Amino acid sequence: MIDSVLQDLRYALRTLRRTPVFTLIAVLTLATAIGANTVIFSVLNGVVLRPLQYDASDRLFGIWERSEGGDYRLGSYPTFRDWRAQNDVFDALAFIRGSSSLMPGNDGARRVGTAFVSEEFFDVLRGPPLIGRLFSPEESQPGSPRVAVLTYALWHEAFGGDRSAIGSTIRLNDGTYTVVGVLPDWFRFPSWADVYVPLSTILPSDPILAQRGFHADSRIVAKLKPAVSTERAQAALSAIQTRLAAAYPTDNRGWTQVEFVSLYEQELQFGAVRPILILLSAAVATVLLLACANVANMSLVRAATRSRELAMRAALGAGRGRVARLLFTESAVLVLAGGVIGLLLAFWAIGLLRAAAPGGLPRVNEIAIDARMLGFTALICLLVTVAVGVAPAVRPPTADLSVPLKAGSPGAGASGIWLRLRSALVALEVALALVLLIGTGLLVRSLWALSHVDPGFDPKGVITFGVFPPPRYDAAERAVDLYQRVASAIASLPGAGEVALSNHVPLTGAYLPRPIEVPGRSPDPQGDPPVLFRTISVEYFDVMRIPVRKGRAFTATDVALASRMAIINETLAHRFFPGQNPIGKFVTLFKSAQARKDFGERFSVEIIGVVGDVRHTGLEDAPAPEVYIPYTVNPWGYMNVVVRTRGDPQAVLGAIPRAVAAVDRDIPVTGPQRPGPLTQAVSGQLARQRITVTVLSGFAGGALLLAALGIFGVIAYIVTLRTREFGVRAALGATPRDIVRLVIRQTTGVVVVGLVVGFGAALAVTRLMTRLLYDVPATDPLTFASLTVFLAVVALLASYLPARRATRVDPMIALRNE
Amino acid sequence: MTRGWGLGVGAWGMNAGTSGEVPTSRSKSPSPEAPTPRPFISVCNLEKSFPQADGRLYVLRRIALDIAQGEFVTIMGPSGAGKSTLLSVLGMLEGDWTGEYRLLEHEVHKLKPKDRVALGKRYVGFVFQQYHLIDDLTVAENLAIPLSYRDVKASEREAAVADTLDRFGIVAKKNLYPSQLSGGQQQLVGVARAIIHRPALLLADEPTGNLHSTQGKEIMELFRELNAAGTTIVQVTHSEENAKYGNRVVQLKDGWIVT
Repeated sequence: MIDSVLQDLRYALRTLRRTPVFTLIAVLTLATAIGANTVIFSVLNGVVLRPLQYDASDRLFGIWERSEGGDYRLGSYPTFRDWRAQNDVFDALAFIRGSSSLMPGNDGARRVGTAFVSEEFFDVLRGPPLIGRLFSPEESQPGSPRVAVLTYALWHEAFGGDRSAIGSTIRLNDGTYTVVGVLPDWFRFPSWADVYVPLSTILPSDPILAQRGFHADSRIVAKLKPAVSTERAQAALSAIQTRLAAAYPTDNRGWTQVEFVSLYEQELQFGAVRPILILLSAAVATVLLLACANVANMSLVRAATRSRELAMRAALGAGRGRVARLLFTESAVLVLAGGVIGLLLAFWAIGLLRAAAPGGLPRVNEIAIDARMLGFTALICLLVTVAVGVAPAVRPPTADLSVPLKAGSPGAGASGIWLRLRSALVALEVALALVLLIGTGLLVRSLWALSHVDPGFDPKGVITFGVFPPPRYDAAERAVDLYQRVASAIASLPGAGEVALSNHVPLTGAYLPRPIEVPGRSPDPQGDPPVLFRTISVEYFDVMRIPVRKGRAFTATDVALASRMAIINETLAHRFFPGQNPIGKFVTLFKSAQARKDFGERFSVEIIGVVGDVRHTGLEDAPAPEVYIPYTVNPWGYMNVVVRTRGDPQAVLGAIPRAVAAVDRDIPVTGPQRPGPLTQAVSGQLARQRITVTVLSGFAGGALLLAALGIFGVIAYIVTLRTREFGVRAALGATPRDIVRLVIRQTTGVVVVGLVVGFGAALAVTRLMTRLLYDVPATDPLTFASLTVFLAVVALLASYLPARRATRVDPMIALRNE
Repeated sequence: MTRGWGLGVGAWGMNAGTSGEVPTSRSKSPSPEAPTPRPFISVCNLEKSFPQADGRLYVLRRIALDIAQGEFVTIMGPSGAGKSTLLSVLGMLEGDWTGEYRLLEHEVHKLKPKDRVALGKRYVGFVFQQYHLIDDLTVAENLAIPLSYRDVKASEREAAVADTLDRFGIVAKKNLYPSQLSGGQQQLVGVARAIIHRPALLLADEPTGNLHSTQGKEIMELFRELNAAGTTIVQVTHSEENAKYGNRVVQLKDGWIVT
């Protein structure tokens, strides 16, 4: 038995070597499809399917405040304390306050995301440190020595992964911290965290932690008690929320609910990657199906052209099982080769992916080809072997193996069943390709629509970067002075035009929603939309090309004198002053620069102008209400510089670090807000869609190619089978056009069936994509119609080429007896 | 196979109307006094060869052959002598040859491939050794093929098919598929298909090669009747018996005419 299997194997290898073109095409088709599947499913496995690696990760939840109107907001520290004190449903509840810190190093200062965590944090997110230890209970008490736990990434960046980092010190702003531990590479929550410090370190000094109405830069995470359901926990917290709404109506009225989001969901939601990954997985599985259909088709052709050889084997005593096993062995060898090459391709591609992870893809570090993925690939190979091997291996029960020997026709042993099977496979390929094409087409249309959204400002030629002052500029006046000096230094660079300052820049992900009060109008904490609090310099609207619709912009005097004036955008005017002229009216704002002692202080400003709307939070988001005040009124702890360049922005970009260092060399010009063109921020908004479209286009292109090859293969097969008939027809007077028409007519039915099925399937499938589409309906008639026609044309061309070959059949073939 | 294939040859004479130039009366042996009629087929110095590593392989060498209107010529010779190739050249299925070939007043050697095909469609019908009926078509549909390739209207096509089925006594078989017929019946349909468009020249390549002797004889009788009705026939055969049905025999060997 083993001998005969080895013999089959040897014969299969020899046969495949004798047909190198078939072997190469089949192996490469399978390798690409298996490799692509392994990559996409590795991403799906690492990012979506694999549970988080924290202990009891199924009991971990992020908790948000929810209003009766269904809005969400982050919880404040006072609210967290009430939840912690009054609940009986959690094993532990932790608060995280986020902040950006300066960390000086030998190669200059770097900005690091600092997570100030309450003492329960590592009880909620429990996982052993990679080296060192976590915080001790004493270290979480106010007045304790300052300690820090590093993420794996920061450990590598700042210490080169040296274990001696434990016990050494780092500086964060004006404080020195002893490193006590390093976390494993999968541990990074929230995603912006680089270093963890006990919250007690800032508890006495950070006024924000006393503000019940501050709902930014925080996270609340909890670990449910084992026997407690989320419903019960939600009810318990909602009861607390109801009490808080009654006790603190100014901040909490209407916010009587909570929202539990499993930490797993939260990680994915922030990246919004799940629907995309599921879409890509479906697409890549489709490509695999197409590849299988194609190789099965090719194998069928091959088996048909070998019918005489197979009949000879049967005549010499090979049973049907033995012949089937030989053909199956050939398929298995093909798939095994494809699988091994596919796996190598996948290893290579995943390495690339991890090195250049697309923005917004969470858990990148957890993407790997592990035992599970090896098993997955092996399973794919097995299924593919069955899919491509069964058809040629199983002979039709009515086939008479003696027929090919008698008739001498290469296809004489082929049965109509197999032609029908091949036609069905092609119809399936056409249908699948159409679904993929239409899905991709919709995303392309969506991307096009999104890339044509007017952001409300002109990013072309604008450079932006953040200025994060060292602690010696903590005083507001010193910060203002520093920002002015930096602005002047940049303005003096050759090629730099106007320079403006702003706390936040649109589409860079930074904004601060704050309350606003209009005299004579009762605030509605539940219904009023959060207003983006913006501090700017005089030049801001000019630099950004944001039009002033009513009133006027700030003057140099307004800014120099820190005049209590405000400019609002059209959305704010519409929401808070419907049908009124807001110019000259007063509103109450709240000081919002974090870490300043006046945080939350009320102040009144007069509205002097209305400017155009800007899509600040995202191109897909409707413009939010915004209020602009002179940056001198509420000097921010950091500032963004916005430069409209003349000529080549790159020349200015290169000169910025030196210009900033000339003002103060301790100001970092690295990190996420390093100098870069604003157009990058705009295109960054499209990155996720663009990557999805690119990958899907690759799959759709592959699907189109495979479908075209499938049609080509079937027609070529038909031509092979009917060579003699075409010769006879030519001898009886058929013109080449008659023959082409005859052949193409055979494909038309198959293609039409495929198109109809694919059209229907696309109608059903694309509805699931609605969340991923912008300004294009999931059943967009133009996309559906144009791509159906396109595929029909491709199918026609694919069948025309082999049909032409049929016209070259020598009619003499009909006269030859052999 | 049953008897009863007899054709009403008077009604099934060669189709003068098709060509217009072909005389309707047979003139098997023109008298010496009469002006020598132009041969139906005249081949002169015809050669056909294929390139090979060490030169060319000649399949036909300097063939010179005249065939008169209404003749029944038999081509014989051993396997590989070039019989089928000569038949395919006469039937305009081969284009790559040298020499001169005239069919009536048409100088075939000067015609473009497309015109040769058109000429073949006009004058020639083929009968194959292996019948070569189209498996997926019924007997009636098989008969209609040559007419459809000659743009005959559907109504005329149907009439011609019905007429042919009747004349060949195979009306009862019209809806059967080739696989449901015996070899003799299939060849009968093959002959019917070859003459349905009333060709002036019928070329037959081993028409009885796959039939047993009785069936073969009946097919040859059918050929005799067609020939008597005016159809010029050129057959390739190994059978001395079949050769006797013709007027003369042309022997081929290694591409040369040896008699």
